[in-house]
Amino acid sequence: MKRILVVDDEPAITRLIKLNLEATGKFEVHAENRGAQALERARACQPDLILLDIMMPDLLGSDVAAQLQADPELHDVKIVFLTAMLKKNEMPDSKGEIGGQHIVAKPVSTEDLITVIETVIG
Amino acid sequence: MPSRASAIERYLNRVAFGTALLVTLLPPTAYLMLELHHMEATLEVEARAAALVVNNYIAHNPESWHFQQERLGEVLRTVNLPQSTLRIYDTAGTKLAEAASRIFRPTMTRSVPIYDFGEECGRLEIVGGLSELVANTLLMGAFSFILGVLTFFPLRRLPLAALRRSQQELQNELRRRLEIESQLRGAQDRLAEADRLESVGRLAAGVAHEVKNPLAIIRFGIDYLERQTKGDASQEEVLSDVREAIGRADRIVKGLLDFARNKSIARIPVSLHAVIDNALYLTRHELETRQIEIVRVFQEDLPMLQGDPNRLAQVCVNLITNAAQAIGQKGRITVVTRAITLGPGDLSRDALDSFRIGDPVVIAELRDTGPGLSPEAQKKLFDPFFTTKPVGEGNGLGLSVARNIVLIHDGALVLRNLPEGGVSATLMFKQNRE
Repeated sequence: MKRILVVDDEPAITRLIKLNLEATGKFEVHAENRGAQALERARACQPDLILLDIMMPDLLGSDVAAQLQADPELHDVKIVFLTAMLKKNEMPDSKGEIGGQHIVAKPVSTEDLITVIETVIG
Repeated sequence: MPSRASAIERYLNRVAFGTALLVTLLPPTAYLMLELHHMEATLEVEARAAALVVNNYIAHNPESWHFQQERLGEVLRTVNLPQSTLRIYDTAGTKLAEAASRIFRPTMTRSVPIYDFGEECGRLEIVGGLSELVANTLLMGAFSFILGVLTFFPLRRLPLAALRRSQQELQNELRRRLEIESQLRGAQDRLAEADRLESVGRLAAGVAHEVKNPLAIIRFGIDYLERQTKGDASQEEVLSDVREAIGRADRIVKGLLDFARNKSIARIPVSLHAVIDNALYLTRHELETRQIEIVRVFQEDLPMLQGDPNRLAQVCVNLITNAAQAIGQKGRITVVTRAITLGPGDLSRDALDSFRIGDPVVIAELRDTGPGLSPEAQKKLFDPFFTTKPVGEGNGLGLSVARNIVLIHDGALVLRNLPEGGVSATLMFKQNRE
């Protein structure tokens, strides 16, 4: 079972993603609503993949990603960004990537989200 | 301006005429005066010389000389002045002798007294001809007249030509300044518009972010509920409606973000025909569904423009979609392209900011057979979120986005009602010069 950490400042989003992903029986999901706590939470749960919101009030998702990259324990953890800022002409390609980064635009269906997650962590 | 110019022209005419008159009259007059003076002095000298000879004769023939008129005549002839006539008169004024030469009128006469032992006994008169002087003066007058005429015309024309040239330059300068002023006003308007759009854009981006998160929650919520309601048809129908509504809201938000997009675009040579054909291809399903006929009236060898083919295709898609939705069912969209050099009649108010008379441009005009624009719609055409379409068909952003893209390309988008009904949407761009 793959371990997923969802970091988003919206508790409803983390809660629903957890419910929907765990319902498939394929994932164990941990949720965190504060960007600044994400690193600590990741160290604690050692996820295979982190779903990371970009626009968070205390710390930007891109900064959290930079901290993860710099951490010797966590720099291999896969990251999929969740964002509400994508524009029509900046949609991810068939691999869910923009410029090498995995990005998912909100709102997304659970089915599409799972497809991206499975593409990234196999 | 014209009255002042004609006053200057009159003044210049007078100056030229006065100068020409001076050139014509001065040389012959001066010549005549000098020559007359010279001739007067010459006659005076000749008269005195002749008087000396006569006085000498009188001194040798006192008393009797008065009666020797023949001898006196010979004495006069010995003086040898073939150009003059010499006469001797006594004190009573009686002519005593004469040595005549052939002299034509007019003439000049000078006389000096003659003496007999110191007592004045008569006078010697000398008559010189002036005809040669008059003829020379007339000849000189003729030359001076020609010189005067030759002076008059350049004097009159050169300053007038210079005046007209400077007048023309002034008018050109004025026209140029007015044009620059109008462009400045246009630029100010566009800056204000850009500022307004920037604010709308920032607002849109903020709104989009705030709306997309709740949409995500609803979407994940639907997915969760769907699993709980497996088999309940009516609940599944409700959830499907909600999913559909999320999709619609998401499209609006995406349109908003599109509207707020960064304004950097690609600038490469683009074929307007390729852009239109691409847009027609992208909208083919909508056109087929609505049974709308497309008539393409394309000018051959249409010059390229410079811009971003994808963004321009988006403009055409928006315009074609608008036209198709305005028509509803069964109708025609005519797409006409042409290249022209802008004349004064080709610039509508909306195109004044980006173009100048004489600019070579490419134009695409889309004419539909729809109902045309209402007066209210004409006023609010480019306002974001203004729409005349039924709920779900349009978000009111299509034309605003289209116009933004056109403005970034320094182009113009003008919509107007056609006299025969329907709407004409005209796109105008400068031709690519590279």
